[in-house]
Amino acid sequence: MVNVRIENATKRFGKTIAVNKLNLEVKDGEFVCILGPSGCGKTTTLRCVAGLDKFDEGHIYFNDEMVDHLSPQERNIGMVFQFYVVYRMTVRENLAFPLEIKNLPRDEINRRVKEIAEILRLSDLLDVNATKLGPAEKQRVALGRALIKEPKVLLLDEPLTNLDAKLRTEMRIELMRLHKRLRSTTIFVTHDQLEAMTLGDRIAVMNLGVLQQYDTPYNLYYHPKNLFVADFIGSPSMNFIECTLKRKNGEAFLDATDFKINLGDLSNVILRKASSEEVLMGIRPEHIVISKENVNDAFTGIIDFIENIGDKNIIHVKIGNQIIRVLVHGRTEFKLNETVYIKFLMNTFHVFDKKTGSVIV
Amino acid sequence: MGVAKSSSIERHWNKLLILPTMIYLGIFAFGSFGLVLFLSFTNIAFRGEISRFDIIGVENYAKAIMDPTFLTALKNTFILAGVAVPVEMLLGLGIALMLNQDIKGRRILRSLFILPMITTPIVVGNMWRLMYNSEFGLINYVLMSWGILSKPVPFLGLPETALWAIILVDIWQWTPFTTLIILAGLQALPTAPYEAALVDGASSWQIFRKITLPMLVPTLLIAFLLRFMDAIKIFDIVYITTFGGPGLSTEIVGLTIYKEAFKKLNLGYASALTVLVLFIVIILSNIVLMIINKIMRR
Repeated sequence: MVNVRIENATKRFGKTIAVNKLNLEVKDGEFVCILGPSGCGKTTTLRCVAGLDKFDEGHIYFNDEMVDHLSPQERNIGMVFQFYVVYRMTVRENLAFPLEIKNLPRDEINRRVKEIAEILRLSDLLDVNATKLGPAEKQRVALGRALIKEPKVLLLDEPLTNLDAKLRTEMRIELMRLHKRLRSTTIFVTHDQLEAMTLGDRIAVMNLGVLQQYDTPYNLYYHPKNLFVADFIGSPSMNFIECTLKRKNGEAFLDATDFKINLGDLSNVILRKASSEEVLMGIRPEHIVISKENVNDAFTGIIDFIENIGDKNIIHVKIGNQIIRVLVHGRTEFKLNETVYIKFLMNTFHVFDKKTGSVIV
Repeated sequence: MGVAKSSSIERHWNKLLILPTMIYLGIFAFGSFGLVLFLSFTNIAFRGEISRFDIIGVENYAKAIMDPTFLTALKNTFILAGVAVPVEMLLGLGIALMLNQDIKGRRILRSLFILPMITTPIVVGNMWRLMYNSEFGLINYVLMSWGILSKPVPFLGLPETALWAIILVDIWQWTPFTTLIILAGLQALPTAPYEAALVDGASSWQIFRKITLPMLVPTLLIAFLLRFMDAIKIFDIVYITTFGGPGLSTEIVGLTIYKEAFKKLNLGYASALTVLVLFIVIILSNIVLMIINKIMRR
């Protein structure tokens, strides 16, 4: 197993910069997700690590050995593609393919095919033509082919995207279990934040070719570095409220026209860091309490819309001209146009610099 | 109601749209085949009064399977198709693989490779006849100046070489066709399996052998089938270069039928030969189609 290091990597396609000065280190045995919307450069990055594409600038290292000049065949990697690639052969032949290329002895090939088929629950399908299998099984065959040669690095390019929702969840758990068992250095590309959050030891969030934040799922959720990460991580997504930073009697507060938020202890930090008075306050819908009775420091609003998503409801509360989404678990007693009181949980909100997009607190 | 009505109009509209094709096929395919089939059981000839002929049963067929000219023609035709088509397939595959790569001037090369195929057969025939000429032909000149031949050989004039000379012309003219079909097949192949095989560590030869070739088999068989059926119909090149000679050494079925019908004016007998050749082609192409279906189903 190895650690993978990408240094100062840039990749251009014509005038578009697909990957811009990327620095990323994946530790030995780590499961890293590259997360971002389509066109953010995540797949390009993965293809460059695989050797199917080349960065225009920068280097890739496997364990301090530069691999830039190595072809995909020489890099000893395993890769699974979005569109489950199986060869027009039986499952057994598919699994054996990477080993036969290396001219390993027959009994060793047989032993390893048997082993990997057991891990991936393909034992009963070994003699079936792989092209006749269903999507989930095809993807398991592709995964088996990637794993069987015990690659230094396992690269997964949206391997679950083309499966239906139920299979996707199953395969996700299977992947987690597999990683716990094999501990191979893994890079997993996805646009699905839930997938990234559940699978990744660390997640690299990318947008427009630039790495936004590289951190644990916990930190991405609780300590986003900028507006993009705050907005991209979490579902339903964070509320953003345009505010003006104001000062009264030495204490700072946020003026959102229709309501004010006292900053208390955070005043000094915010006043020091903000580049201007224009800021955005961000708070997650799950960090807001809503009730029919008034409590201290609550804001009054009217229910504008209720989104029911099974066991949860997203309640859109209108305060003046602002709409704030609040997440409520279980059945809701609230009705449209009802007057309600909402309160932000202590220390859960973020303040972003409107100009730079980066977080202040 | 509305839906049912519109769908019934649609159904009739569909029929109307295929009507021209049906009329065309009716007259020129089924109609003429029916006529040929009927005539093959008669002794009709372009001599004397054409309306006076007798139905003679399978006499024409009995004569055909004993006719040395026809049997030689069949043999020559299958030697030609059996040698030329596999060579065209192999060359076509090689050239298509080459043109499928990122090489400089690929587009120009592609256009140049198609030239033989789009040249009129009469022109091709005359051109090669001149090139094969023993007194001033280019081929003799080159072979002699390289010292391969000590004296000029009339390639089209010798029974031993004439058929092979024609096979070479067929290969020259029709390799572009197989190239084109195989190239189209190659370009329609998905790229993902190549990339997967690269990552799996396969060499170019292994990728070709294990990934490309199996995916290309349907295309190859279709190219083979089209070329094979076409090669059996060969006529114009032989007509221009040798007219079946010397002796019967380049006699092919197309030419035999032509000679029976329009030189000897034995319309009934020529019809019987046509029907025989048609059935042979149908049987052979169905065998190939069965193989294609078997492979596709696997």
